[in-house]
Amino acid sequence: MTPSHPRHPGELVFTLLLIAGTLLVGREAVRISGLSGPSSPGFGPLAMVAVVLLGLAYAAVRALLDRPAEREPIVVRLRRLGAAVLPPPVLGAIPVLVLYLIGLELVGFVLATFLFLLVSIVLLDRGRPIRAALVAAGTVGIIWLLFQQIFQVLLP
Amino acid sequence: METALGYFLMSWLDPYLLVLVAVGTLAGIYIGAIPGLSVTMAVSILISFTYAWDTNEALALMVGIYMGGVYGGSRSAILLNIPGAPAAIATALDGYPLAQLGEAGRAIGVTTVVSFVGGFVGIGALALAAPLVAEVSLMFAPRDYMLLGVMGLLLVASLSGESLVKGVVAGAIGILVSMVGLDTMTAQPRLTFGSTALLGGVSYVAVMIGMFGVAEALAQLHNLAAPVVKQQVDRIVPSVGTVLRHLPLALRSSAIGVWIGALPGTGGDIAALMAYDHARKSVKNPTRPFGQGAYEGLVAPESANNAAVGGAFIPMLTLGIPGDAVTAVIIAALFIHGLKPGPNLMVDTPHLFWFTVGNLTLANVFMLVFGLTGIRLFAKIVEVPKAILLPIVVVLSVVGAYAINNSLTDVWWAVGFGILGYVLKTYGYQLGPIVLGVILGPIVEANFRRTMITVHDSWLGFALELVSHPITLVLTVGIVLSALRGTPLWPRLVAKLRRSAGTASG
Repeated sequence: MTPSHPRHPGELVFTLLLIAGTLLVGREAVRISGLSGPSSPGFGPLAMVAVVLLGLAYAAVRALLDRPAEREPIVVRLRRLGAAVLPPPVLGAIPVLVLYLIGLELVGFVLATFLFLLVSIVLLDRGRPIRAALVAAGTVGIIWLLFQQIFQVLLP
Repeated sequence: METALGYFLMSWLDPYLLVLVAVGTLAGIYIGAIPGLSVTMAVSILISFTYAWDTNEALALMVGIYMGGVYGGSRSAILLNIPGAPAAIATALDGYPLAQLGEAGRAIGVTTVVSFVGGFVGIGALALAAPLVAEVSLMFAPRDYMLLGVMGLLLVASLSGESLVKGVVAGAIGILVSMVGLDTMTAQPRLTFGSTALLGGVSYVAVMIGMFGVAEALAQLHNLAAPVVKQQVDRIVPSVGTVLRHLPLALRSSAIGVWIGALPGTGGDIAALMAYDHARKSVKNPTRPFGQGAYEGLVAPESANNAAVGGAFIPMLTLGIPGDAVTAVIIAALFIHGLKPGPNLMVDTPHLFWFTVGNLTLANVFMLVFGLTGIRLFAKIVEVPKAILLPIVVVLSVVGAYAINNSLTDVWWAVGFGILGYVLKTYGYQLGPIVLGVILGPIVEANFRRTMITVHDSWLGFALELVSHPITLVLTVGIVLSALRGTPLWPRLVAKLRRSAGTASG
């Protein structure tokens, strides 16, 4: 019933990272009310941490068992990881997104959004800066008009 | 009865609400038709914009978007071989071959009419079944709500991802997120890591926008290079003969859609795949072989996924348990507007039920009208490049997250959950169970603790509670079966049962 899926590149490392993060949450869960009764406020978080840890342990074992018989060179493995998890568009988009949020605090919504759209569209659309600038300006204008003026929503 | 009719016709007679349903349906069809945009994404982002609105207006818009969006996904499935929504995955199997044969217009016409039929079956089932379910649900004890929540999580975990284990992990992560902040029973801080900023908990709307908006946009960046195929679309209104020929299958598939939609946690996507499978097994002489442009391959999933819309509202309005991801978001919207979905919703605010049924019916009619008339425009809209569309989705997610509390903290949460959701999704952990966990977590935990208090924290007493009433017993058995279904034991069990059945009959 449970179909066998090939291991995703970097799955074991990712699972181990999730386990480490869950253990941190588990330490915080123990602090709530220790190991007292099931109706105590700490029981639910501890139970969920246990479920996540058990599931992740199973996923880690599966990832270990599904390891290819022949180890590929590290460069090949990193390339496969990049293609599957962080292909160039995603690798570029995440820092641009974080910079956008910082920009919202520093220069306000209109300018930060215009620059974010301009840079993102130029990067994803491979060039065409004039078209990108027109689309970015038009989008900011429409969003400002629609949300600020019609929906009366405050913009960042 | 007259009062119910009055509530039902509210949106039909109020020009403002009528326009909102129409705009919602039209927007839903567009959003559903554009690959990369989903109804769940749209409704999640929209919630924060409708904070200040009247509840009726917000609901009218959202119901329109939901109904239109489920149908709209078929457009890009037929025209581009890219399902615009998960519910249209099965549609692409025969829809795209039909477009390649030059029958895109006819395929869209048939799809529109059977979606309309399915929509009506779902709404009819909602109108008939919900009041009965609500009456039964008044007998529910806390343990039953806990079991329903667990069942919803298990169902969505087992059916939506690559493995049950990953689905359960995703659901448990969602529940953990819902537990951050002050405990609702004892006001004790939980999982706050000593930060006062976390005392108020994590905004579930920010989680939804992150998971369904930002994470989806990042995931869509993988398919930037998908080619756009321009289709010639002409005559689309199908003949009466064609409709009548496919009507029996449409009705059977609609019944599947209602049933799957009404199960907590499962929605149009699973209903469509099951209906497609049913069509393949039950139709002996399809118009063409399945997978090569059989109209039956369009009729089954499209009638089922629209029927699932009405079905999904049944557990939502009567039990407060979402039927699928979109109804989970709509539940969040009702909470925001001070309403508590559940058995008391139909007692305290009966108008809301008939108002929703009226909205769904109206949206279904608008869907038929827009679907059969706006064809050329839709063909154009699905051609918008993703390089332009996806950054705009991110900006809308940012605006939506900010609108929750006018705070940039929620924007950081949304983006943080978006990036986490993207990585989880890449590794096979579905995002639906996480969001469902966030919504169902408090229901499951609070009712579990209430049950535990009544049995004085005794596990034996708790186990006896799980089989103490016929309703509870049915739910417990349902959970055990759902859990078994995702394990390797299930096929062996089924094979053994078949063998013993064969021996008995032979």
